[in-house]
Amino acid sequence: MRINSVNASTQRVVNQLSALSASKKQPKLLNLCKEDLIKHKTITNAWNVYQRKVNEKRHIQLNAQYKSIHEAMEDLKQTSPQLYALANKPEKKKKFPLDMRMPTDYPPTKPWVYNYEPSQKRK
Amino acid sequence: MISSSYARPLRYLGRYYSTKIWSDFSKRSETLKLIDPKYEKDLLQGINPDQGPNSLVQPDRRLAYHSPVAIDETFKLAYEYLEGESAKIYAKIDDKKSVEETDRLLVKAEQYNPEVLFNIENSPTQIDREQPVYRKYLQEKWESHDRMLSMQRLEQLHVIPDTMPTLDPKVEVKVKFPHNTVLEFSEWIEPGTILPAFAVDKPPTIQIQEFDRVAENSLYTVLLVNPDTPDLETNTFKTTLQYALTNVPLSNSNNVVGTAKLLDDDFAKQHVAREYEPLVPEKNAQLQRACLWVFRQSSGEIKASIGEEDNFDIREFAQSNSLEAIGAHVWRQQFDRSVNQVRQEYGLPNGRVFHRVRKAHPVIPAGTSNVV
Amino acid sequence: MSRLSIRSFSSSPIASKVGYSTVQPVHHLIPIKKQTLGKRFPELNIPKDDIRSPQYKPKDVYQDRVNEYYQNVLKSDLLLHYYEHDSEAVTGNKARSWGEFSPYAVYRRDRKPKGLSRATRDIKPVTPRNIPELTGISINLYNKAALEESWINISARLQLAQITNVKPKVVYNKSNVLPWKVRQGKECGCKVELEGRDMTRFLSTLVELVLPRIRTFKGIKDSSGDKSGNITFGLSPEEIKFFPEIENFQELFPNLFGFHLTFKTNAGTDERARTLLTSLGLPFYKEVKNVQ
Repeated sequence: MRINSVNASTQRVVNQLSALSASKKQPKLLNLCKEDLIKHKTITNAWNVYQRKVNEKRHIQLNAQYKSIHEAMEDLKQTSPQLYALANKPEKKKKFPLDMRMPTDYPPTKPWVYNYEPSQKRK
Repeated sequence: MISSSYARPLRYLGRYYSTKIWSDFSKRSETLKLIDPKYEKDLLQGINPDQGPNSLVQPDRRLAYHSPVAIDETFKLAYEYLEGESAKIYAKIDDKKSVEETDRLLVKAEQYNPEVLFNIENSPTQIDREQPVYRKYLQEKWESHDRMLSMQRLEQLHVIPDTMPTLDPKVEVKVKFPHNTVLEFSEWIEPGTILPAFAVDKPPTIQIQEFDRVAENSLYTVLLVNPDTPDLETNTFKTTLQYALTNVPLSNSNNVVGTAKLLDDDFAKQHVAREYEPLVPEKNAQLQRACLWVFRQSSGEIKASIGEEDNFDIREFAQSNSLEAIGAHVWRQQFDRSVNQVRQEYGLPNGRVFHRVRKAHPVIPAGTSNVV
Repeated sequence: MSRLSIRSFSSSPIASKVGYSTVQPVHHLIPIKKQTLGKRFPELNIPKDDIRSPQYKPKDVYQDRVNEYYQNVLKSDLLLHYYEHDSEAVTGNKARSWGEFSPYAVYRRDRKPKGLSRATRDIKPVTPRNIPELTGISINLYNKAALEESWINISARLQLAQITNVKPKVVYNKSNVLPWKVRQGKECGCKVELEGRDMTRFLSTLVELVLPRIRTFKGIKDSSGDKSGNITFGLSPEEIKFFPEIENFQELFPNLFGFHLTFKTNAGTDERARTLLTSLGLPFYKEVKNVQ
């Protein structure tokens, strides 16, 4: 038997619980025909191959960058030990500037501040 | 998404390959084409929404079917991209590469071909087993289920180590008895099944599927032994040889020893070393295991004939002929109503009936007790 | 030969008699996954990335801008920033041996590291293989009110599910503490582990929409961190209001709950992790201690 008379706050909790339950959100299993199944597989395969290539390319680029940094530092070590010591000093507590933002899907209505000035360092 | 490098013909590379490599059958095998041409239009051009997909049989289900949104356009893009990648791999193949390397590249070039995928998914019995890509997919399928199942049964039923010490399976061994009319017994037998005597009274059809490329007419030996034959004198069991095939030439595609071959007199004379004799368990004896072992003959032909001795030593036989065990199968039998009939068919003597005999307990006469 | 291995025809083997159990020696040359061999649920054997599987979940359904930004822009910057020439791995504080000659040390656990209860990891120089990366965000919501009335936790779970798009797990008390009314086995909050796209989406909401609108927010404390590159800070119930999923449905959430966020990184040290988090737009501030 269904209880009709519950007070508003109880009803809210019941609603919240039903919103949390997974059964209502589970999407229906797609029943693809044989041809579409192979098409779907092919599309997935192509995407995976493409992603693998992109990752390989990134990896190669980073390796090249690392190699060139290493070579430059080796070079500096030979030519000017003082400059090398300065360049190799680890920068403790260095932070990226806050003004550097991540790209988003919904950028602000005013995307670019033309008369921008970086924030002054406190002394 | 699509790189521009494959748009031009790869003429600077060693050999010319067209970029539409998957529709060019001048250098590729025809067996990589779709086996059933009625699906070709739906798969490669797109499904006509007024008719529905060909793979659905019922007309109402066909008409009610909707493809996912924009699947055909995306598929076309994906197809072109993968085809371009495949052409690049084909361009790497030349005569200097070793056979294994060539096979590896051929698998890489064809593994994403939708026609190949469709064939392996929907007509796995008709595919060309000479193509490395098909063998690769067959091997994956075997390793994901059938290999584990057969190893589980071989270990649980102690075929290992009661017959051979161990097995590192390299080939898929399938067995069936096609003379049966009942579907239950005429299909491929799952390892470990208990079969009635009438279902096994003709020699089995054996399929031995190799997954690596093997030389044409490599030689194989097949032995069927029963390690559960009662040996009353020693109050234990002995192993009997029920069936033996030696020097059987097989290849990747010609991989079945079936009725057609066995009916051929030449084949029977050359390769059947011991005529088939089914297991005929006697009443009240234990379940008996029919263990079928497949060996590669690593040192050519076997010349020696198999002796008629009572207790067959399969380990000794394998060692003396340098046989390498690569696959096995097992089914079980027990006494049933059809055993006597099968015995008559094969001219065997009537079976014994075992029954319980009480132990003659030592009765210690009174007064002789040595209890102090 | 052992008694077990002789099979005699007239009597059953001792191993199959009542009251005798043994584990047969097996040698699996092929590992057997027993759960795949059953016939009852064939669909469970389909791999999860196949669309026929009931567990299939489509991936890459939208552009992940935060990850792209990290891969294409930040990674090379971070590589340059962390570069130290001729640097070598700093060995962590490891468990010690009890010495070679003590007979009591056989089969005994190694001695604890000096001054610590647990061994610490080595700190390796940053190379293209191990550029610090945000691997996950774990959100932990401790709900004190749920100790009295467990239905209050439903609201907290829904709040977290709304914000993160992931179903939270309920957390239960582990021990009894009488003065705090903590009872073992009672619900006391919920938690969520975010990874991949859920994580980047949450991060971008947090950094772009929530944190800039908190007037009192100075940043994350510079001293926060667990010494191995995981950084935690908390949000109070008033600050939760700024999540757009909550803000637009305020009448549905009359009581809000604060939570703790832990940014899990593979940076190895807190210092490296802080630099990484600033590159993702999270500010840090230095705590000034009141000196009287």
